[in-house]
Amino acid sequence: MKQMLICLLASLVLGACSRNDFLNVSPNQSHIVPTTLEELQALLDRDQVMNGMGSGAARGPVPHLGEASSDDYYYLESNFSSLRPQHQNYYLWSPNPYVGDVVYDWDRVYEAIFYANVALDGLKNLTRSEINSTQFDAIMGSALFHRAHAFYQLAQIFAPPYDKVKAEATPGLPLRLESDFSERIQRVSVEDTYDRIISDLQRASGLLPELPVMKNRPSKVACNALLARVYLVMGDYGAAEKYAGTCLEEYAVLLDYNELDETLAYPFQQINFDNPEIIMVFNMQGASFYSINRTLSAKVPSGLFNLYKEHDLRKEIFFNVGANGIDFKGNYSGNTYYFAGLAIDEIYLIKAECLVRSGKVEEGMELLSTFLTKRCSEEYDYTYLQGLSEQEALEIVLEERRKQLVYRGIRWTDIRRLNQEGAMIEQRRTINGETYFLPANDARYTLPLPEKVLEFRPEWR
Amino acid sequence: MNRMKIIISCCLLMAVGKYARCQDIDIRAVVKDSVTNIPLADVTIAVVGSRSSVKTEHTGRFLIVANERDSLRINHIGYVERTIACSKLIGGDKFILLTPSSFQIEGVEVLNTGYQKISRDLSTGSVDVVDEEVLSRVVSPSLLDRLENTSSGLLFNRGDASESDPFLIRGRSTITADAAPLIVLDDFPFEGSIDLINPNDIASVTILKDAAAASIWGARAANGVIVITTKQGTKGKTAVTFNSTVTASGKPDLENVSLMNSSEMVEWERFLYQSGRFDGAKNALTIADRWSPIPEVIEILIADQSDKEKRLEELKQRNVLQDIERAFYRQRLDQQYNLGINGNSGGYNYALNTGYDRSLSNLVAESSERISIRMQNSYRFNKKANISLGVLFNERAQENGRNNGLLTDFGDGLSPYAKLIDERGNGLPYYGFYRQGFVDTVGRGLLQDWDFIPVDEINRHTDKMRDRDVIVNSGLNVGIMKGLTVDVKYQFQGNWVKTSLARGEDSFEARNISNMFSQIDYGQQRAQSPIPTGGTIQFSDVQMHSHQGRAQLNFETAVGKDSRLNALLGYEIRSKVTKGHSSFHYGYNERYSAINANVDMFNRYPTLLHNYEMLVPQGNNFISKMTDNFISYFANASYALGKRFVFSGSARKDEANLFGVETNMKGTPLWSLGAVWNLAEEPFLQRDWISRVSLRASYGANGNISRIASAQTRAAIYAGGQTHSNMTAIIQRPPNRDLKWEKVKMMNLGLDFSLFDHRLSGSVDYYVKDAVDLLAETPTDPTMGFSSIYTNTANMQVKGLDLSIQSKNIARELLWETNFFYSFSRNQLKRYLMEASNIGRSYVINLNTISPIIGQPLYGAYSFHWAGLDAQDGAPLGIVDGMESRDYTAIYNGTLLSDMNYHGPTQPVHYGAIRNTFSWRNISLSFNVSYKFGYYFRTPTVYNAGLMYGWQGHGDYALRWQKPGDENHTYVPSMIYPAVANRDNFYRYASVHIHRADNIRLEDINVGYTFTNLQKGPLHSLKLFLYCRDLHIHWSKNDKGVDPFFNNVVKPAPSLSFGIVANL
Repeated sequence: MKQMLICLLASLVLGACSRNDFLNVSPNQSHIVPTTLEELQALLDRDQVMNGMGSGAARGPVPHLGEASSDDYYYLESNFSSLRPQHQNYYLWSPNPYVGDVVYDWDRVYEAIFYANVALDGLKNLTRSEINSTQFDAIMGSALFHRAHAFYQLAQIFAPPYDKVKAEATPGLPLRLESDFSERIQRVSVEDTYDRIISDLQRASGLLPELPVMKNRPSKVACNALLARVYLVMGDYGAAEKYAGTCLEEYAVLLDYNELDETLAYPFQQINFDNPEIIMVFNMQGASFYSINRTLSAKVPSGLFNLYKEHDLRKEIFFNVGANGIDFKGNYSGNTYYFAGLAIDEIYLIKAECLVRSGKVEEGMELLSTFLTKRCSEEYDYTYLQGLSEQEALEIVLEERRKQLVYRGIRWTDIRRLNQEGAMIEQRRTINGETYFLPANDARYTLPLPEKVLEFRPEWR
Repeated sequence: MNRMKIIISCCLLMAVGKYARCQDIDIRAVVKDSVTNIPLADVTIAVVGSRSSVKTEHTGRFLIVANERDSLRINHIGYVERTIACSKLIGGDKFILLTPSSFQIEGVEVLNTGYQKISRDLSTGSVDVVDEEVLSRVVSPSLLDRLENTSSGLLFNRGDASESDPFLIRGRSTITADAAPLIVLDDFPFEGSIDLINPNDIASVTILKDAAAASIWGARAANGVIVITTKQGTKGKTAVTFNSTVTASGKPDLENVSLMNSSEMVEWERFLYQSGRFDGAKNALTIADRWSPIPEVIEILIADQSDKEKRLEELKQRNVLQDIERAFYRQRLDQQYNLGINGNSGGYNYALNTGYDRSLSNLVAESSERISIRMQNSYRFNKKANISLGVLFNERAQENGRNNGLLTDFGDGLSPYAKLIDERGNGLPYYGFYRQGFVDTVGRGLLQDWDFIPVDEINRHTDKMRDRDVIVNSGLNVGIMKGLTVDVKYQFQGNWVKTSLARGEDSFEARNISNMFSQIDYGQQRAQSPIPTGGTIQFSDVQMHSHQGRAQLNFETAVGKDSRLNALLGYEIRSKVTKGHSSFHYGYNERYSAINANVDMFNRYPTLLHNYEMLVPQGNNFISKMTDNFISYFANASYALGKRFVFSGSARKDEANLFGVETNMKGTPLWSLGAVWNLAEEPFLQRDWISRVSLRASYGANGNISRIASAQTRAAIYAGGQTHSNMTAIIQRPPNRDLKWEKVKMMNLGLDFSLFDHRLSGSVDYYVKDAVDLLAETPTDPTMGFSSIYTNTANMQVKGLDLSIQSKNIARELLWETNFFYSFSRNQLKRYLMEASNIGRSYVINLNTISPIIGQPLYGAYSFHWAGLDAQDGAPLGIVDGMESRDYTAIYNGTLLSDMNYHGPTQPVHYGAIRNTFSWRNISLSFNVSYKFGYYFRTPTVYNAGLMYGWQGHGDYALRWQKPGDENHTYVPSMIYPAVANRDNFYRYASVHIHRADNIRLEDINVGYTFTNLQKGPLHSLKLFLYCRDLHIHWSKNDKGVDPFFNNVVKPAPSLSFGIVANL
């Protein structure tokens, strides 16, 4: 009280004694204005928002729209009719799929971006010192990583596939880069979208600890892993190889699938986040779309299932052959939710692919074999034929890629990428006797912006 | 022209003078401004009691012919009127000094805006002043009661409408922010309950209604401002005033609450029993069925003894209201005492006031007290410096027991045949919480008594509230140079509200919680409970400290010959910190003031009532801290251009911690402009019978704030995440740099008049309030990261008219005055971006919550279309797709808003009062009649589903459809089992229950006798008076005979007060 009196009197005299402090006091102390490093970290640790953790559908920064639109699953016709119209449209690649409903694939991803921006803006009001530098840098790196990751995820759905020639002239994503409501968000080109993703990740990489403190938090390994993935998507295989290599130098532990119990409902449930392959956890959003114990389950096409060879442990660890179809149970989340995070298996496959593409076929196949020994039963000696051509080797690597990264939100991105290189993957679905096609490089490989967004920003149409 | 007048005056005077005993003489003098010493032109000099008058020349000189024994009245706009005896002016050129109004506040009507005191002549705003005489006409401890019906534009809602807005100035102009006017006590906003203020200590209340008047209060002025001015030390000898009132009223009318009678209830319950509704209770297979209370009738039917019909007949003869009235109600007695002393000696002014109020309410065990002490001192050192120091202490204490009147705290209500007391008035148990069979047997004597005896429980609860308020203010006023003064003011206010809700050891609540958690070991003959012996107590404490400081420069000067400029410029800082805490304790022992803190609240315990384990209830425990910081800059100027025009302007900028520094930087200042044109000064309106006609116009913007808004990110902290146990945070409100004050732009056009020698005077004001940037939840581009935000997006408009007329109808020995007030106010939502529900049901459940429908008032009465009763079975009929329908789900859930009935607003659109005052010699009589028109309310009715689970019912039950043909004279449907929820919902919210709430009523009567010329004894004057209110003499438009002020609630009995006012 005395202090207040003094402040009051001083204010009266000076007019502006600590005016800023006076006007920045929180009106209600139970509601915090996140300002301290701990509070900013708490925002980024909100794993429901930032990593898609927890029960219930539609949360987190990984959209499910890509998986929903790709060919790794199908619906039984009886289940299709009970889907909500929005999800029926996703399944059949309708050009206007949203029917006025909320598009969580957009909203929740931008929510994570918003949290990251709040943390970044919060840091602007703090001073980095010798004492707090580790924590300060980790928070800044984490926020940059989360934002870049979310932009990457959005770009796979709502921005056209990256094409070096057209990227600068093609509209990409709206980049939300501040936390305030008053920000006038700009939509930038595909080139600028990826530039932002890469530069943020590179900045984050210099700020983060090498290995994750907790698997819901980013690390330098996660940055390199995501950079490898982003460059791969952009078709820059040299850079992708470089980052995959750096990543594997830092961390290369594989899980031996021989240690798993394939009879469990979810074979990865025992190890959960202790799965050494996981670099960082994200769960995919999901709505009607989910697996085994749900009535509206997605079924695995037999064509995909038959790709797994006899001694491939994944055949039983990943799948459950039921009366009315095959179900997927190999989520790295260890439960019903699709794991869509970063794991080292993907990095092996990225590096192998890039090696093959750059002509280092033997080196690539050797890396692939290292990886595959952990996927096949011990009695089986897994080695590929020697003297494969580059094309043959690439086909093998890509098939292994599809088989390992199934239901991880990657297939859609791969189809987009490979079709641009002329793979001519055509998707088709049949419902009620009618067959629907999605030809290679169709415009529908880029989903429209949500109607709700266009209401506010008609110029983005 | 002047000369002509003088000549005419002289002629007239000479004509009169023939009969005068003394001689007429020429009186010459010069009129000057007492502050600046500048001669004043155009000042009116009139001879009192005659029609002769002249005006001063530009040199301030005048000449008038008058009798030596006459007096002159000197009158000039912006100055205090003076009356001077002619005898004092004889002998050449004397000066008459006129004091500017703002320097001298006695004698003219003065408006206190909280920042300055200015004469009404210089005000361009719409302002009402309610003086002490009017305030003291009404007997009530509450200042707000005394303000009701004393001014136009002030709306006090009563009955259902008061749920939404108890009190408004010129209608509601916000959606989610506070709509209550700002209350200012003397110079600073009063933080705390207005009930603390002792109305006997109030000299006047100034109501600032339009932008020009209120905008000096800036960001808090949008709802209008009420400035309370306390009594100050006055010049002259010491004055002592003592007043006291005693008010009594009988027991209230409980029958105004409609209930089923006992006979109907007995038969209905028999029907429910026969239909199988109580099979569960009969078989008592589950734990809940063994203890869940059931009506006494059902217990009798289950027991099925031979005398059951006789016992049921007995029940039919009972009436619970008689018991309630006898044991829970009493006569009300209020007492008020007040002693005020004020006076002056040398430069020292003082006022001292002490008040004591005590009230024993109609409810047994409920009482309240208030003590208020105020001391205000001011000392003038010399002509240049003045200091003041004041202390105000108020304390209000309230106490009540377990008695809320109708005993509505039962889940199932009190049955109309319940018997609460025996013939001698001793309490009887009521099985409203548990079945008698359960409480009598479950403990086998090992538990505490588990009976609930409502009458005995009254005094086993002690709920106390103590609200203590201290204000210390100090001020310094220094004249720096001619016309320029500096004002520095500081005020501290401390407010402490403590409540304690004690449940004695023997109270049902304490026994119940202990029994409930008891584990009985029948073998060991022992019962153990985790609840410590003793009662319980819930404390809560809220303390508020505020510091307010203000520095202000006042400037005034004469400009040219006849114009004046008044200006002020100031800076203000305010900080208010409110801290609260609340705690709950077991083992409370009142006698030793002890508690027991050793209670296990972490482990679950089995209970006798459930088949699962429960945590011991923890009560209410929290701490909180809120801070309001404000910095404001303000300026105000008025310019009187001659006598004909006054112009004014004001500007203010507020900064608050709600918005943060960055946002405040961008804040737009709030401002106003106003002008007055005194038409009576124009040649074309020079008529004898016109004393004053002036036109006012003002426009400006005032602000309003909402606690919900914040410019900064707001987050809530949680202890862990979904997959880890580190601290996590959720963002509750996103940051919004563009957030700003809600703004109400108000245009006001007014006309003031005073005619026929002030016999008829009044004012008319027309206003339009455009409320913009109102805070409301608003959809956003989801790219933002959130899909809605609470921000400045909604608009509203309020249009209205205020009229007030004072007329002296007879002004002889018998004096008859009439004060008439009329207000019209209608609000309309103009812009609201959040999608409002298009389903009609959303708008009927509570008519006093906001219906955000564009083009409609905020509060509206909606209902389902009614198509009567089915002649076959008495089922209610609604409308679906234009056809009669019994598809209640379609009606209730499916009817679109566009297919609903919209009746009109639920707050009055036209309202006002007429007060007539008569006095003859020493006797005075006055009465006030109020009216409210143009609004709607809904009457409750019998609720079929409620009848299945509740025991109370509604009197409409008697009117229910019972046989074909009944549909021709009733709209109450048949009562069925099982009830159909949507059939009930449709019926309850159908158009037949919406009625016009229009009403006119006699509010009160005051009769007084004043003794004057008291030659002997110390008394100067003595007034005795009688005052009556709640007479229930009213006209209501609805044909159900329901008084909308008392819609199915207990109605207070008429009250009579006796009062005495003595001046020493």
